Amino acid sequence: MPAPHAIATLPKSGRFTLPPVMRGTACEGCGALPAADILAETLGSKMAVLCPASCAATFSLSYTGMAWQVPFVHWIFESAPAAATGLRHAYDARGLKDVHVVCFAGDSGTADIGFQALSGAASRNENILYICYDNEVAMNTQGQATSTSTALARTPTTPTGASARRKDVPRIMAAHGVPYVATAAVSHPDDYRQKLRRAARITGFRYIQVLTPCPIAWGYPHRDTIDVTVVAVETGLWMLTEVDGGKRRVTYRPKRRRPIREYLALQRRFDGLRPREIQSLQKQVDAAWRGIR
Amino acid sequence: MKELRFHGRREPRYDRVAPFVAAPRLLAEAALREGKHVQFRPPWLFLRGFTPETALLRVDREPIETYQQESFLDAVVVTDPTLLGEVNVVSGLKPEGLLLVNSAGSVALPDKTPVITRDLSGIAKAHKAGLTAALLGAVIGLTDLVRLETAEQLLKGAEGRDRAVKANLAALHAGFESARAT
Amino acid sequence: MATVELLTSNQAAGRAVRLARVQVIPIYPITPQSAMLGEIARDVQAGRLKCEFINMESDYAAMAAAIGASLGGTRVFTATNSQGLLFMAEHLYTASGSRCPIVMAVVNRGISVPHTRYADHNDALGVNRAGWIQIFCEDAQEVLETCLQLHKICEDRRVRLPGMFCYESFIHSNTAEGVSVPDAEAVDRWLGPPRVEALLDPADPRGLNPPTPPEWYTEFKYAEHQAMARALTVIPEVAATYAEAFQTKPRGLLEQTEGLKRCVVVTMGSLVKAARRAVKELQAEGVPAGLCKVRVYRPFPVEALREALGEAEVVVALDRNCASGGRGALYEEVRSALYGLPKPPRVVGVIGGLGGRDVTISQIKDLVQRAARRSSPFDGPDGTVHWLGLVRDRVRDESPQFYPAART
Repeated sequence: MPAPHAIATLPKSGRFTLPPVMRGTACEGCGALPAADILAETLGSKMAVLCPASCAATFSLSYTGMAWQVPFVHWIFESAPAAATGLRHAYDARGLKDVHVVCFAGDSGTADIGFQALSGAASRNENILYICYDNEVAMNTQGQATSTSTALARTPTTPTGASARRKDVPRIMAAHGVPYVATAAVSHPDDYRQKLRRAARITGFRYIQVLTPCPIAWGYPHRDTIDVTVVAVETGLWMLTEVDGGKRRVTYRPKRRRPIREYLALQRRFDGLRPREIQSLQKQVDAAWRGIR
Repeated sequence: MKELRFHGRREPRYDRVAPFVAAPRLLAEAALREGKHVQFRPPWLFLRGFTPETALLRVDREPIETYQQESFLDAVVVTDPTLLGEVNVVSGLKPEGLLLVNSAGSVALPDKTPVITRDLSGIAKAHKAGLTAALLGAVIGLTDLVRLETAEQLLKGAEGRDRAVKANLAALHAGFESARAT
Repeated sequence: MATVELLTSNQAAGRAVRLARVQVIPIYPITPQSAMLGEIARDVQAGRLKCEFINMESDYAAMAAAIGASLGGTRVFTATNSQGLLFMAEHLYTASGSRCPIVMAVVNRGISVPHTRYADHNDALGVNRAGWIQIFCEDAQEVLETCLQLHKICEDRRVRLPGMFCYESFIHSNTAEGVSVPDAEAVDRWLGPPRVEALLDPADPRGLNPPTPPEWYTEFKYAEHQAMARALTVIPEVAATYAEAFQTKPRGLLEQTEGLKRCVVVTMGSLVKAARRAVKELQAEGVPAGLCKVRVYRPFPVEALREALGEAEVVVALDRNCASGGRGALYEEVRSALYGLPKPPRVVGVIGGLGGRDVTISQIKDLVQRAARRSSPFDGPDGTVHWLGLVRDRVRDESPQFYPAART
């Protein structure tokens, strides 16, 4: 297990700086911070960011400062891709074709309440970049389950574990036939950066889902965010993939997949799982990796 | 103000406008050209073809001052005589109002309302034109709602092959003459 | 040179959109606005209107896109009504709070349940607190002129609020009238290019809509309220410049008939026409009747109304809307506006025309005469509202339904 990173999740790029007054609203060890930081660093100044109601919307902006150095709006929960559509067309009408329109949204704003707008924009192949930072809960309202919650995870609204299967949004986006879909994780910043750069060169609807653990929701020490993410990837539970022009490939393959119980043991949200449940989750992961060379 | 109601059946195709709609629309456009005020209400919403429908036309030299449905009709025009059994075509017709039915044979209403029948379909066919032009001519002949010359100008300016335009003009005149004839 | 064309109100709105050179049009279809969309799409395809026409996936998505486009600095138009308008209710507040000068056509239609496609004003009035300018049009000519004027009003620096212009489903949307269409170049000169500030501008990055503590919230709402108040001045000002540029009659906040008015009908929308005819006929019969047309409902023209109605003895508020447990919207606004006058007129309320029901000239004449004489149904205690043309046999105390088995 790599050494713990004390404040490794604090942004470093210089293009994303939490205003002092906002440091209280972004939690120590927040996984979304590096996700936002790397996005800001990679895409630079030629973008506008729409952030629907979510943790990032809350920590990005106050009346005395904002984390981003680009145009930013704290948007309505369910309609970020729709608003992004309008903004994209406005920029096109004004000849601002080289400015990226980016949605930076949490998982509920993407997979649940925002799903209609997401599917709409994807089916129209709107020229926007959509980043879903996924902490598998609706954390802005203190952590209720969402449809991306891992099966079996305990949350305030699923005290005995979320029972439904996790909604596989990247696969759904790929099924819309959009030009680029990828999954990334904050533990693998170079992989994420590469995917952002690739996406930035493509026209059309581009979707990247980034695993961004939340120490409070998942129940681990705040300084272990990157390590927990590493374990999620090393167990194969979270795959780093890319679907580029319809062709799917895995961008990182663990040399030997660690057993899933090592991931589950790190987090209090999986407390009290029975051996049978752990086995079933291991089987799901194994099945997902079958046939991938 | 003059009020007319046109009865017909919907065309089964979206891209075709039935004569009972096209004719009053042309009357409305003609009236506008003569500086009059109009209110033209075609059938609304998508319904199956052959459904009985109506179109309402109001024409006045002064601004028309109501949108009410309730009408006091100066004339009712029925393009399909089979409607007479299905629909009460004379509802709202003024006592002195005219009822014109497109029919080759004579028709009679149960309540003995006087009916003017003209074989407008026959006239149209004879001139190789659509029913709309013949119907337009007949209504102008019966009501003098607009001048025949204005209707002529409209048809002349319409898109279409020269032969079709000529045929429509001929049907317009024939419909007009047939309405004027007692 | 203006040309007179046979246009429905839907077409008149579409024509105004073309003349206004709107840049982004995100829409979602709903009866009967759907007929307008095809016209606009054809205009775009034929190159008569150069704009980004976006088929959105739902009504609220259309409003979200409209706001996004407005924040990007473009002139925006959309259209909806009834179910769609309420579905975008949340985003209406986003638009007004963000101070976006979006112009929207609302083709007034009653709200389900019961299901209807015909007209009443409950949809627009149901969102009357959302901070949008609301103008109710009387006919297709007013639709065209109001749509054009609203772009100028909303983009005015003193206003910067979104605005909706309303006309009625079927009554207006499916009725073709002679509309005088102004010349495109003359409109260009009068309206000018879009004056929409790009709040999301890469050249000048800003962060919009921070979480707002109690110490800050109130003043933003106050500023919106003040902008609405300034609209009371800007609306007639723009109407006057339009009238001058296009040689038409200026349209105000209210419009009244001439002559001595002891009994005045106050109403909005298509009913204005029948009411105007009704009072004309009554005047000819020696009854001192008058009409006060409310054209601008938000901001509600309190001062103008007090001036218009202060001398009347009785006012009949004819509402094409209703609210269970409340009263008609015009009835409440008028009574509230007249409260405190030294000799306020007696205000009686009538609810009529719901779900597209016909209201005729003779019905309105009858109402006015009864109100003037204090005879039934206006002989009861103050505050009762009369439901026009109620058919008692059809009153069913249950959810609208069909039941195949005969009831015992």
